[in-house]
Amino acid sequence: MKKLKLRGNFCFMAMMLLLVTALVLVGQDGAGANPRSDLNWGRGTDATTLDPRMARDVYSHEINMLLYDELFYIDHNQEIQLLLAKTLEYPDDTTYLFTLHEGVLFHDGEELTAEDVVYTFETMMDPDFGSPHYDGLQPIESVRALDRYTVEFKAKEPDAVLIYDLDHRIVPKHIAPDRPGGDFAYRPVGTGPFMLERWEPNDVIVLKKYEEYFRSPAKLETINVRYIPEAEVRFTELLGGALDLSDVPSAELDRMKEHPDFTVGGYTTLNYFPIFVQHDHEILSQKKVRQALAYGVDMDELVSVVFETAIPATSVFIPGTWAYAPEVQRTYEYNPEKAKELLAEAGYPDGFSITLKTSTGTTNVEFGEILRFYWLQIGVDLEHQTSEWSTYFSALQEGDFELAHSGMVNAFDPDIFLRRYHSGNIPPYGANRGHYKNPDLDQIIDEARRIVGDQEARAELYREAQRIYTEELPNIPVRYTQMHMVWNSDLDFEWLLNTQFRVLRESYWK
Amino acid sequence: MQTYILKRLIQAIPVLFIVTIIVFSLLHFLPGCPAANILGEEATGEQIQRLREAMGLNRPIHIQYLEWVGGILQGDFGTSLRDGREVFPTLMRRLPATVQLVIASLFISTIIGIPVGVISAIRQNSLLDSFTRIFALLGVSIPNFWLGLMLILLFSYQLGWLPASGRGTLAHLIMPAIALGTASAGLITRLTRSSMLEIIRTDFIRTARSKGLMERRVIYGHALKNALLPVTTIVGLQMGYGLGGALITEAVFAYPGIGHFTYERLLARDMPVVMGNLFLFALMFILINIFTDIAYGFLDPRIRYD
Repeated sequence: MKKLKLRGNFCFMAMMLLLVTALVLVGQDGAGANPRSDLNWGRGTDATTLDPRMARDVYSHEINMLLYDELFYIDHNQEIQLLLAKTLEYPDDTTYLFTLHEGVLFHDGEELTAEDVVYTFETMMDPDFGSPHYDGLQPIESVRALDRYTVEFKAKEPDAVLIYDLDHRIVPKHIAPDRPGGDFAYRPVGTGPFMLERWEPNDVIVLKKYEEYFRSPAKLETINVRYIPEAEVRFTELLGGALDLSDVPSAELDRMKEHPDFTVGGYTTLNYFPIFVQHDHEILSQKKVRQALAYGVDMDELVSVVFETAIPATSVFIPGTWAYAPEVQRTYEYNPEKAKELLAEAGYPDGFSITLKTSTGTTNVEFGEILRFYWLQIGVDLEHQTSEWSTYFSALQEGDFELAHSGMVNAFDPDIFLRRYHSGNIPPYGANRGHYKNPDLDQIIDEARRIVGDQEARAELYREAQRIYTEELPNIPVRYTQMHMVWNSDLDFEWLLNTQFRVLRESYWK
Repeated sequence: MQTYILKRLIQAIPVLFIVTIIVFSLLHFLPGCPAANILGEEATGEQIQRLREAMGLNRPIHIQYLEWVGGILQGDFGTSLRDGREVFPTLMRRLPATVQLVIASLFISTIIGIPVGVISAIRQNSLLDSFTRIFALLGVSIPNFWLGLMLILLFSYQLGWLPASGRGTLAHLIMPAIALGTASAGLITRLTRSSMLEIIRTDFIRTARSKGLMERRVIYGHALKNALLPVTTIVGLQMGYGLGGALITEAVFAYPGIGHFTYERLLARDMPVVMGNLFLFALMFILINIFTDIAYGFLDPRIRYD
């Protein structure tokens, strides 16, 4: 009986303790006297896998860039920055020779060697491993370790774009599996400035500083990456101090720019969101119809209303990149009269009906509604079908659409987007899901890709590609996107294209 | 009693079996493919087929089903198609959070719903009754995600009293439990009220009054006990629905339970996780129902289980 009473007391004490802890936590107010060494970062989507060989999504990528290192990475100026590699040489136009830094240690203490690099690429090039990076690595003839610290890649033929496909995070041969499955995806071991301490899916990822990092170790001790699906709640937590770094709803950006305690960073991405067109469709296969659709909508207006932070797009080439040549591009100022004329010339004076598929989401719904309004004025009756992403995506995948709207991401090189209009990439062997065929464009794509080390010659070819693209309109350009991030101004941080969260290694509290 | 429970448990077996068939076929006829989701936007058809093969998704559908059910019988729910984690431990780690949330919300809804419903019934058509009815109606009608956001706006953003997201302390539980419990509170209030009104008019209550019992005894000793029967059914059902309804509340408060997690995995077509969760929920629903039926016996001695 006595024992029971004691336990009762204990329970009571425990409850009180819990209550007090709760109150203390509630009352806590962020920074103390000493500068902090932790960081609370909020995101709306969780990582998928922390095995970089299997990761393709942005949210896994953001974590993996802190856990692992690549031979080199592409910085915010689109330039190559060596990382694990000490040197990169090109003995001839199909050979890439990397020398590794010595003494780089994985989080388990083993040294990184050329064998790990070879292993990483070989598993991704193995069809049975099922890596999403398999296709990008097809141009590689061989990858070999010449000695403990030298790796040689050989391309099948001269290829200007292959270098971007060599930008992969290196996994340890002695731990990472060569078959899908296993626990490496959630117990990752890399060489990066942070180690994984804990990953509760859809809750939190805790990263700890890796003391033995081969460059200067991180200044932050801990990073808590918190998964908070609602943008409004992330915003509230940021304002309240529970988060130090997060995106915010675009409607709040202007307000945050004024806010004395926060810094807003933003850049234009290398992403392009067009209206995908199915060229197997009898009506849409006609150039005049596609041009009429472009003339029939005030895209600048539409984009500024629906996608607040986006920039209206003119072609598949991204402004500010080396190949972008606006002077050769044909533009389509809003002109409903001209659109009607073109439709009449194409044989559709009374217009036609067409469907647009997108995934669900407020902006997509608004986009469809406004587009429908514009096109009704030129006699085109647009039906907008939305479905959740997986369903939409499988329709896109199978070419089961007339018009569709979503994006392409990360054009480190113009070829990465342009090749999707190559007739050789019509599914199942490629991502030309609109089945677009244009021999002239095919030839330019092939030729430009084979020119290694002469960017000007490539740029010249791409001028012609841009002229063709904007004249023929294989897709109707809609928007380029921007990415914003907001952080506590006491944190030393910078938000840059490509580099993104890599900066966290050097971040600290002022 | 034990025979009754045993009988109910045996009856549950075919139900669970049918659940596995429905869950499996519904999810497999859903458009979209986990491999395509992993591979991302620029994947080719060929690449998707390769990954499907590696994931074992290209095997005949009946083989996949039998493997899944066979696994469950041995306590193996398979592994996630996304990160390779084992499904059962992953779900079990998250289940307590949701159960805690549902129980807290039911606690809130019953301690509000039953007394308010009783008072409302005793004072039928008074001003108090009208107020209660309006609030009950509001409680049922307000979408819980909206209420959740409003609570965050007030208690986290304006007042800074409670954390807006996460789990760990009692303070983290308060707003999600209120947001989730409000609808049930409204429902329980309305049900208690109508059930009380019905009982109060019956003969045995008149008899109780006429033999001179104190009004309090009449209401709480006789009427309420009888009125609670339908309420018990609803509380039991609400517990089941709460598991599902927690999905939205969990999303709003970034509460690491099982509901929103499974929803996310459904969007990613991580079938083993979704199927495992639906199976667990079906099992829990059945157990809650058996428990509810047993609870009747305590409230109404006329109900026997032999």
